[in-house]
Amino acid sequence: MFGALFFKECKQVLKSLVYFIYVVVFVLFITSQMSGDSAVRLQAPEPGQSYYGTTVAKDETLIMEGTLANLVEDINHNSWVTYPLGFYKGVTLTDRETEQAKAILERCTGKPFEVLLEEMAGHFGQYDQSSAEEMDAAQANYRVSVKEGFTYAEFEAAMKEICGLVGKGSAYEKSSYEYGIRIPMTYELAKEEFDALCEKDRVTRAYMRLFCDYAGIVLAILPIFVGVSRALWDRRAKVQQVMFSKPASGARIIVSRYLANLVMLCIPVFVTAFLLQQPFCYKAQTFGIRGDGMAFLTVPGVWLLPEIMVVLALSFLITELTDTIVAVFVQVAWAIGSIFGADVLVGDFRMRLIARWNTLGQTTLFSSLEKGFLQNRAYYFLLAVVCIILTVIVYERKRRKGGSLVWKNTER
Amino acid sequence: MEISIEIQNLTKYYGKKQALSEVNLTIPQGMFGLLGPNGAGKTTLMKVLTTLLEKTGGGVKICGVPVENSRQIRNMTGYLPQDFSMYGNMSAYEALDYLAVLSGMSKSERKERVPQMLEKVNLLEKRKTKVKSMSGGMKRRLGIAQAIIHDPKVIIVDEPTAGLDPEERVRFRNLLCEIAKDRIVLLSTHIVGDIEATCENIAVLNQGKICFDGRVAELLALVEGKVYSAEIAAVELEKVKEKYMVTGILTTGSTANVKIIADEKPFPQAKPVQPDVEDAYMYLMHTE
Repeated sequence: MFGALFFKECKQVLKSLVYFIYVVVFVLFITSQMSGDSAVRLQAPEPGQSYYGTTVAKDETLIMEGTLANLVEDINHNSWVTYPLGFYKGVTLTDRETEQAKAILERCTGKPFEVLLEEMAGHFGQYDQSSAEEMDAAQANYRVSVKEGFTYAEFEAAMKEICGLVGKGSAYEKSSYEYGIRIPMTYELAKEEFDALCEKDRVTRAYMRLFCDYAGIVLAILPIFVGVSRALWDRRAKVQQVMFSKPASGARIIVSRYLANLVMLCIPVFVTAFLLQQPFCYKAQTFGIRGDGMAFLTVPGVWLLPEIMVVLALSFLITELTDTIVAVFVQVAWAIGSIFGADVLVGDFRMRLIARWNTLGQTTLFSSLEKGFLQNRAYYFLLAVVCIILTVIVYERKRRKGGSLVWKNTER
Repeated sequence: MEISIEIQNLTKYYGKKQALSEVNLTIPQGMFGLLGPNGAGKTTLMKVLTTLLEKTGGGVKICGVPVENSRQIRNMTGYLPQDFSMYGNMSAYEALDYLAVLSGMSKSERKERVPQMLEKVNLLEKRKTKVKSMSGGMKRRLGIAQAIIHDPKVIIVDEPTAGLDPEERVRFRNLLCEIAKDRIVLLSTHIVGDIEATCENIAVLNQGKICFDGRVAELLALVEGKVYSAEIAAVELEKVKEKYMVTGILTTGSTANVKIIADEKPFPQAKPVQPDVEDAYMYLMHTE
């Protein structure tokens, strides 16, 4: 019975306009974001290149120098970017606050702000301003050294003061600067990264992480509409009463319906991933290795499945509970908060719904963060299971209350 | 196993509002009519019997099984709700097959029963018609098909003929009588004609209370010798309506033929006539 119900639900999803829109929007979004020539640009590093890309700084001195360099630029422009509650907010400091920020900077560097400005101009002047690659290198190489004897603890205290001036969600939060300071890679480091990409990731897995980064954004939102639409369908079609009167248990009805929607939501994701990974399978061959042909299943399976599961399950739960489309507003707000709330675009996992990895490679960094990532995904997987159990409970409760959790005095 | 529904002191509250009050009823095998005005509590009673509402007090047993055993009750009941519908994008066959799955039927059982049921309700030729394209009558017939697909002992139909044209209504009543041969069909309606044409046993529910429970003949006996027909001047009509319970008026020019319920002969020219269920029902409603 469960299998028959599951397949009938799949068929129902296929006939739905909302699902059709989901497929179109997902495919358009992904194909527009995933650069077609990524595979072509992926090359083994050669000695003597002027720029090898960047990596996240782990050294405390480098973190301090990079953060202070950002601070010089932000004070200079007096344009501070923050994401309180996950939403973008531009901040402009008053003259008095700017003076306070300059004083903090001077305390960290031991140099007056004007001197730091001159040093900044001198640094950027060394690079060719017309070349994007040169400018990337100039930005990555820009550093402001700390005062002698200045400790990391003092630096942390100083950055807290900056956060006090500009508000929450700035680049001066500890979680932000510890993962957000990028330094240029040397040839040796670039080679090490490339080797890890080939050996550990077998190329395709790294590309699938980038795929998951983009897909994760859109999958935090689109399944809400599919879930809400399905959960409201019974009421709209006036089939609730007849469904409730049937012997099938609430668990069977809800779980089959949920799994059918989940499977149907996943199909375009895996198909798109499969198609997009093909150039990278070929690219891996040119590096003399065999790409992981199953990466399109394994990486999105771990990365995206818990996200789709929780988004869909929560939309089922809220809609079953309220019989309204309120889930759309609640969950879209949550998704937007998660998108803009990320302190960095690579590796800010914590408890974020959307796990960001907006880079191709950085295999060693991912390995160091993998445990936290897996904990994050396990959390959302379990949350989805809890939501579905609660949905079944709500459904059964409604079944015994005439279809609504609220008494209707007019019903006779 | 005896096929019957036993209702004892059934009470149902919506918050502080009482919808059913101390309802006692025994429903035997065959067609049973539940009559009552809109808002009498008929739908509430139907929903309690089909486990869609929890009772506040009292006891209900269907074929000896307490209504609290919802799974068992759902297996032995079929329900056609007042506003039955199905997903508009499904065909008649798909809709029935879907509901048969929810009734726990295997693939082979469905393959046999679904066409049978469609044929029974005269929808086999329309098996590919989408639910959204069906007329009200076709939807009700599909509703009956889904209610009997798992061969339940009890079928509960709530206001099944409301909104149907006369031909569809007659066809639907006949269908109900056919399926009531070896089971209980509980027909809830406010249309007296439906009961009169199909049921031997009836109960009348008013303001949440049973005000009559018995055979149709017993209901008719309540107004035996109290129904009169008289020809009066049309201008006197208002006066007569104020004084007596008028259950029928046929105006022809300046005269009107009225049907009156009265304990004694209302005027000399009035002639006693044979009462029908509608007269008895009206009498009951006004004397309650």
